[in-house]
Amino acid sequence: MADLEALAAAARAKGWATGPGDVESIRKQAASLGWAEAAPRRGDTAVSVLHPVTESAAHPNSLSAVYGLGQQPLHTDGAHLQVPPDVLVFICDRPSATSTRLWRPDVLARRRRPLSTTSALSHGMFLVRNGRDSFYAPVLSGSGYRYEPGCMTPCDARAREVQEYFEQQLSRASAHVWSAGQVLVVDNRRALHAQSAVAEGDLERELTRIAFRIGAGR
Amino acid sequence: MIAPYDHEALWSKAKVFLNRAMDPDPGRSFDEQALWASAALELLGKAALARVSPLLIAEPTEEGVNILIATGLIEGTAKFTSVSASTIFKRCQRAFRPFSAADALKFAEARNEYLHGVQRGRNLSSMQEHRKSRG
Repeated sequence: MADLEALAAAARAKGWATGPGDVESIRKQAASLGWAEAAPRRGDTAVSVLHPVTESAAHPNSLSAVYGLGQQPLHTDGAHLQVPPDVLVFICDRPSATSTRLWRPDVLARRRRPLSTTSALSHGMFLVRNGRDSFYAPVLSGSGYRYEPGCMTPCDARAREVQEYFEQQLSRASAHVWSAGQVLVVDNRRALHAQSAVAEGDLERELTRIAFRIGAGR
Repeated sequence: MIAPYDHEALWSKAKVFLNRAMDPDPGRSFDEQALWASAALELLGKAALARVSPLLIAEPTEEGVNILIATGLIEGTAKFTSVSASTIFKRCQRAFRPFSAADALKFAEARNEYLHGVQRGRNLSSMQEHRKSRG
C-alpha cells in the first residue's frame, strides 16, 4: 500500500501523485495523520462513490447536472465552501477507459500566461453561490486555488478572463488513465481536475472520492 | 455563515465594487463607475479597520449588541450594525496616514446626492471635469 503522507507531499510539489491503495487503508492512514474528512456538499458523506450520470439524473448543484456524461471543465472540489478541502483522494477498484484530466500552474504554464491573467487570478472577483452563505472571492488566494464554474459566476472583466483561461488550459491538461487498485491524490488547492467525457461502454465506472482538510499539518 | 465584520469578506466585496468601477466597459457611464467607486471606498475603510479589530466598525449602543457580536461574545440572529461612513473615514484618517477623511467624505456626499437627490450631484460633476482635465 502507498504511503499517504508521501503521496500528499508529492501532490503538494507536483499537483497530484498516484500509487496503489484502497479505501480502508487511505482512511486509516489519514486518521493517523490527523486529517479531517470533509463532505464537499451539505448533507453528503465525506466518502462518495462517483458514477457517470446524465444531466437529468445528477444532483442539481453538481457539474454533472450541466455536463452530464460529457467532458467536465477543470475545477477544484468544494469551491463553494469557505474553506475548501486541501486534498482529494480518488480510489479506483477496477480499470476505467474514462480518464481524469489534471492541470496545475507549473513553471511552463506561468511563463505562457499573459501578465493580465496572472493579475486577474488574484483580483478578478467571482460570486461563489452557496445559498445564504454565498460570498465573493478570487480564484487565487495566497497559493490556494478555488474554481468551479458551476457555483462561481464572474463579476467583472478580470474574472471573465480567468474563466476563458481555464477553458483554454483544458487542452493542456494531463490525462490520468485508471487501472485497478490505484489511488490518485490531488492537491485540491494547487491543481484542477476534470472528468473526461465518459468512454463508450464505461457507464459502470466507479471511483471513490474522499476529501480531506489537513489544516495545520499542511 | 460569514461574520458581517469579517475583514477578508469586506475586502473582497470592496474589490468587486472597485472592478465594477474600473472595468473597461463602454456601456457603463461615469456616474455608475463613480457610484461603485464611492461604495468601494467605504468598504475599503471598513475592511482596513476591521482587520485591526472588528470593534472599530461596530456601532456602539446602550445594550452593546454590535460590540458583543464583534467580540464574538454573542452569535445568532442579532443584526450587526456598523458605524457610519463618516465615522469610518475619520477613524481611517487617524489610523492610516495619509488617508483624508475630508476627501473621502466628498465622494460619500457625491454618492448620496446622486442616490437620494433630484440632481446628478455637484461633486460628481466636478469629479468628471477633474478626470477630463487629467486626460
